[in-house]
Amino acid sequence: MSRYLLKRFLYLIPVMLGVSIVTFGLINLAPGDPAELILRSGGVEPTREAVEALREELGLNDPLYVQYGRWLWRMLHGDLGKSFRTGRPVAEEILSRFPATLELTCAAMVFMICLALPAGILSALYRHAFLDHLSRLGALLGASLPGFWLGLVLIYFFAVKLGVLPVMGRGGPEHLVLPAVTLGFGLAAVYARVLRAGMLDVLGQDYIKVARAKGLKEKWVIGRHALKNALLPAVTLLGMSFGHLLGGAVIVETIFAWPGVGKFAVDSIFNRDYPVIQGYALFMAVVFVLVNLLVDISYVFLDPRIRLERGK
Amino acid sequence: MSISKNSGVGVAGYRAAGKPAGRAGAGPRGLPGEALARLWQDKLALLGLVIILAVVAVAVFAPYIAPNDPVKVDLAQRLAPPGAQYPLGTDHLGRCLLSRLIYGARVSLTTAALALSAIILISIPLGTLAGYCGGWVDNAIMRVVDVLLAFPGLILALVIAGTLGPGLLNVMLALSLVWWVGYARVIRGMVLSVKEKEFVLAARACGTREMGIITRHILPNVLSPVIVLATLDMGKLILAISGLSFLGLGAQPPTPEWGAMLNDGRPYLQVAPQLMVYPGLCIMTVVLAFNLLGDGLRDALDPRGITRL
Amino acid sequence: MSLVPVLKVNNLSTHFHTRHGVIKAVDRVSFVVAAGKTLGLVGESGCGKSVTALSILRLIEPPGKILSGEVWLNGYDLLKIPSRQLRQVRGREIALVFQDPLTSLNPVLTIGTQLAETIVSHEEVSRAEARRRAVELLLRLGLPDPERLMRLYPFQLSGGMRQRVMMAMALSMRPKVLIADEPTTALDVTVQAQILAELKRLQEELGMAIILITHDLGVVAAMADEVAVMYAGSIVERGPVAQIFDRPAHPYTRALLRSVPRLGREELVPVEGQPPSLLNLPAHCAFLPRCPQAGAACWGEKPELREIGPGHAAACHHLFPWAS
Repeated sequence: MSRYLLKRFLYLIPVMLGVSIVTFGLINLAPGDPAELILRSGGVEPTREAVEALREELGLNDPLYVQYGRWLWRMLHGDLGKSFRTGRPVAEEILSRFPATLELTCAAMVFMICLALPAGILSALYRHAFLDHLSRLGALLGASLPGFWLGLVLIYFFAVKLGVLPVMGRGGPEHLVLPAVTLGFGLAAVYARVLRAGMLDVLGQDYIKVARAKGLKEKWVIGRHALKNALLPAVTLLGMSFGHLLGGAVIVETIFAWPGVGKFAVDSIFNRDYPVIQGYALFMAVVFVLVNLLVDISYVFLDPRIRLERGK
Repeated sequence: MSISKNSGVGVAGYRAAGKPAGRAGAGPRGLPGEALARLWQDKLALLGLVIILAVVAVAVFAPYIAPNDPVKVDLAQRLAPPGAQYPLGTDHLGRCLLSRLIYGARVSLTTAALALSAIILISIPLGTLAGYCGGWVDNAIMRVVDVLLAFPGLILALVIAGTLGPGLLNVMLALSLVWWVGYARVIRGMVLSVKEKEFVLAARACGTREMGIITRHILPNVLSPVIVLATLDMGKLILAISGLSFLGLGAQPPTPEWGAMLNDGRPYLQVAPQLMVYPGLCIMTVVLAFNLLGDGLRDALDPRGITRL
Repeated sequence: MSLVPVLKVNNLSTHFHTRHGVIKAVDRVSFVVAAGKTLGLVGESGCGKSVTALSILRLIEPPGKILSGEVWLNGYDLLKIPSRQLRQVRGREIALVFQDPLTSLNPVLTIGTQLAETIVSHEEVSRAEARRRAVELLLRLGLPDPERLMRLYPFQLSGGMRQRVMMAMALSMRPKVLIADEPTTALDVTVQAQILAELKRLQEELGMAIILITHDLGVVAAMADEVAVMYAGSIVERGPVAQIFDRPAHPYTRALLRSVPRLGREELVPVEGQPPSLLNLPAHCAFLPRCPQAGAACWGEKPELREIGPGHAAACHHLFPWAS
């Protein structure tokens, strides 16, 4: 098992390298001269001499691979550059806002699991019953729902009309409700459908028939035999879901003025604050990769087939 | 193993990428009559198809259906409630909401279709190459795929679109560059499994040229999961495009796009909620239709077996 | 030797209602199994043997439905008793050994867990006691190092070992009836012989009735006391094993026996045609399209099972000359 984990870990290195190349390359996609942008953001008139001077100073005239090397070196030391707009280190700006995003994402994930798990599994157990049809319909609608629309609709009903929940901002738990629901609902729909399909698949397997033929109590059959097999792929899916949640958080943070990293990134995009954009992309990729790594590791512990290195 | 294990293109990607290519039976299969018959019986899928056709019709005949010019500003009538001249009211610049919704169908459908075409055009050759050639070609392409998959989907698209600048074209470009990976993996998987099947070996034994083998034997088998994925993804692409437009990155004023319209309607939520409700409803309807059709297609082309004896 | 009937199946019918029509997987099947005796249920793949076994324990799921019939055990009709009582029967009075040992064992649970849970479900014993019993059982079935085996997962065992584990699971409650569905098909010949020998030994010890479902006539010849031949969901011939092999009355039985290699026989004559799809079966005799004896009467009603000798019955309009 440790061999498998080591392989997994080593495999990360070329991927992260690729990620850094992509992120570095992004800035070259930007229209306009970065030096010019910096000057402009600083309120300085970008004359030809000033631009040239700044280019020299920033080393922008060196060949790309040199620039990349320098950037990579700095990045490995935690230096992601400075924001064009505020001048503060990008790393600091991102890290200070990340806890808010994490809070939102985790709350959304909890909501998603609490909604999707019972819906998907009960749907499979009571196939063709009313509950099944209802939750499948809900899942279908939820998967088609634009998240930003749901957010606005929820704001309209709960905050504006009913006035029970705050419209925006971060604060106590009541501030977390609407954003978390908005973020988690769409993904819960997808998750429920996958869980249902997985559970149905497991229920059709021979070993379930065998368990029943042995005279085991139905609760035992479902709880012990079926669930364990059905939930395994669901765990891996959680990792991928986390990525979707991080992405969706951008929109949700914008709607609810949630002071997280996503909203910051969107603002920076409109401010043409490229170091921030770059840092954001890199940071998100690292987080996503780490989460997936964690999920994969936990999967190894959960599935005996992998844990025992595919015995015979 | 690795990050690429289950990150596919949403639910369909998860299913398709996880399953071995069982559908590649003896000989090429496009949409045989049996699958079409099954599809025909699926009421929900047909409903989806009908809705899509209706929306396409609306988009095509927009100039004839729309009561007013979607970009014509009429400040005297801004935020007007539904009335005779403006059946659904007007937005904050006095533009007819209904007309903008109708023309919005054009924008959404064409943008998504173009993006999807680009995605397929990129992924088929790359996926087929990776699967067929194997070796370092396969490795190289799959590394690229892994790197791209390390970024959470929407975020990469957001960043690319953001860096390139606002505009629908940039959004299309960004989405294409991000989305092709899921397809490439599925295609590669199918090519890998079909490659070893007897009829390919037989064709090779008969001396058929490599390219001929690829086009006539391998590609048709690849087609059916791609079609299913594409249909389901049309819906997701429309969601992504309207999402990015909502943030301000996609469609620029005065282009009528549903996501952008939602964003425009945000400040006027209390006064004129219909500005927010209708565009969202349109998005949901279209995406739902594609989801229904996609589900039906997936069930038709890959049934679970009616009986278990 | 007195024959004590343990399980009596009467007119059992199980149909599957599909989009394309009705599949009559089991059509009015009847047989009796006696204590300490083995009934061989023979037929080609897809003729309904497995469905019969599942129907006996009411393990049929939609779109399948047990339409009619009775299954008598201990004076109770298993098809009618409440589910709580049925659960007591399953695994304890009647045990079912499934065909494929790999898919029949839960891949994420240890052998020990799967063995012990049967015992714990039916009796008030501690888990430790259950595990002890399981170890004992594995030993008796000839499995080496059972303590270690208990901690392993199914994928870590060989096919033969898995099959023996399945049997251990089935025998753990000393059932009155053991239904073994193709217990040797997934194994190679040497292991086959071992397992069959163990089955026979345990049968003598426990006085168990065995229903042996198989398409392998060799296994039937070795193990069975009585044989029931199934075709397209119905029993076409039934009788003591010697009678069936020496004087087969039904054309299908005859054809089957001719297609199997035997010492002294020169030719192998395959049965012509293909086994019929069970979908929308016609009302006449199902064997008609392939029958060399077919005549005008065969196009009418389906033949019923008729006694043609002591304990020997066949369903055919044109029985062979020695059948009166």
